[in-house]
Amino acid sequence: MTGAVFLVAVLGPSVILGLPVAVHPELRHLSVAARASIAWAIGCFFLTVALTLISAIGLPWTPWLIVLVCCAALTLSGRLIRRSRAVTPASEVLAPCRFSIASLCFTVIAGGGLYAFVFGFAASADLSYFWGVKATHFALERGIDFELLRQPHMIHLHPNYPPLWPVLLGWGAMTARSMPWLAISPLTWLCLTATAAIVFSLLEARLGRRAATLVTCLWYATLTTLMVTSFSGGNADAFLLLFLSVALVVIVTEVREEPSNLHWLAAVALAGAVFTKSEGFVAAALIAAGTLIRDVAWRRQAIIRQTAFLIAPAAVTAALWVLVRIAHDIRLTDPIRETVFQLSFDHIDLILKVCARILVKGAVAAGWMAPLIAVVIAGRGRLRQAIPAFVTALGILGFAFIYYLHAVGDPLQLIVWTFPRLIQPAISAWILGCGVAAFSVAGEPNPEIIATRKTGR
Amino acid sequence: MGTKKTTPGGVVAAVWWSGTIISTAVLVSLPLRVAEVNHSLRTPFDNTDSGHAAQWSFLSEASHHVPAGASFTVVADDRDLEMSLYMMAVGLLPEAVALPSSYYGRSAPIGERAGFVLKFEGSASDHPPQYHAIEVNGGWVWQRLATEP
Repeated sequence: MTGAVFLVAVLGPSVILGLPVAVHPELRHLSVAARASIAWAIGCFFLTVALTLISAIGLPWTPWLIVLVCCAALTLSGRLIRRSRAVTPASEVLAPCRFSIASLCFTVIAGGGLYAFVFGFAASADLSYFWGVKATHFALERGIDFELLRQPHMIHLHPNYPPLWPVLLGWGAMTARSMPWLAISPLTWLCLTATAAIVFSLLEARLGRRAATLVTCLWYATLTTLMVTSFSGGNADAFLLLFLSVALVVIVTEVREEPSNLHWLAAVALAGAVFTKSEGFVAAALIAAGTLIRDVAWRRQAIIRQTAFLIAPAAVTAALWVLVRIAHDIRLTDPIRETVFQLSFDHIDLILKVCARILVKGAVAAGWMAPLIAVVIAGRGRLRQAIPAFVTALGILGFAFIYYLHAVGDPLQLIVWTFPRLIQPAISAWILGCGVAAFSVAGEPNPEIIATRKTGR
Repeated sequence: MGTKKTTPGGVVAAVWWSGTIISTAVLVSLPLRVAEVNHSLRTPFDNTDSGHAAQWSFLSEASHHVPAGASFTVVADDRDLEMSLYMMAVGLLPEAVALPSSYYGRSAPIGERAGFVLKFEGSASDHPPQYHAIEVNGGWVWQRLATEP
């Protein structure tokens, strides 16, 4: 029962808060599952920002306040729906999913993943070391427990880490009146499945159903397996992946001739990534840099303004968390982590060997080799279109390498423990980038999808 | 303008499918690699071999003997294990005050002030004389006896 209340508290208010975004006219071509997933993701971001601000000004979390905000969001959503119906005709409905090898494959991946996360094959030690621990204390304090985060023997809680995940879990635990530890890992599966729904729907609109199915199935299978084998269940990694993947798929599915009208969604998603994990800022910067490089290659107009628009919400979010920490005397850096720019080049061989060994094994290897081979076979794909994804994937690998150069002593254990997690956004970016490069059609949406829309198949 | 391709070619599609099949095979084979799958979970770690399940069970049971507001520390034979237990205990006994005996491998004298000592594993003879010992699954809870003023 506690678990059910917890899940309702985590899902309900966030979906409602994200509803005004999900009913945006520009998203009407997406599937209901994709829009519900977008509502949840963006709603989680809004909810946790609101809860962080409430704590920052010294007020306790009050369910009634959130209920009021939810009512406002529902009213706004209703108005937006009515307005968009009046202004734009109902979007063409894509053919419903029928039984196929693809749907069978999707079901097997979803079922296998759900089993692994529900029965604890993927449970992360970090959940019991700091993510869930912070959340438990936040629930007791009815807000972010700044006093706890300041204590000298609590630096293992990583007080400087962005607050989205522990605040969301803390909100759920406060509502459920205790922390249902066993219900947290399945949220990772939910994140992955929500991401797959969004990725599929956005790709389908640009590449057509068959190509979108191929790319999404590989994405879902690889990332689910990687999350399980790297014991990321219950961590913030799945939320980071959700935000980064949504931002990237929006950016790489736009074409030179037709600038995306969903840049705002990518910008909000990047802000969500920054509010979820420290690596989110690195990845957001890489995505923005990749988009800038591509737009320069495309000779687009107003590139600086577009890039600034893309990164501005993320920068504001990062600044907000810095200000909250300064106001409450929370460390800005992590004393457990290695000192920045104190590099050691003694272990380069080891770093390269261990990372390479991880990259050529199982699902990780399948996740980058298959798309690479596909792009090579497909020939002259639209590689430029996918530059943001490639910059992100390779940039994250570079970031990991530089991070390991900071390791004090033998970095073997650090690499084995962290590399399979660090590369999750890189593998995601690689699959999405290669998928778009291999299957994109210049200028127009894929003729297959137009034919599908016309025939209603 | 790029090359027009209306549908994925057969070979390209086969390559994507092969990647999906390999990843899915790894995923669905994971439970098969576990000697005995536990379907009635008591801890989040019951189906991992990380050793956290035993620590979790011990702390979970020990938490019933530490009242809210009381201070406690955690001790184990190994410093890494002690740190792991301490980090977990902060979350599993949130209403009590956690004081480390050691922190990241370094001795922490503040732990000596604790009213309760949670000793992971060990035997009945381990406990110091000024403590009352309660045996729990996976270890002991030592409660400091009231000292005369």
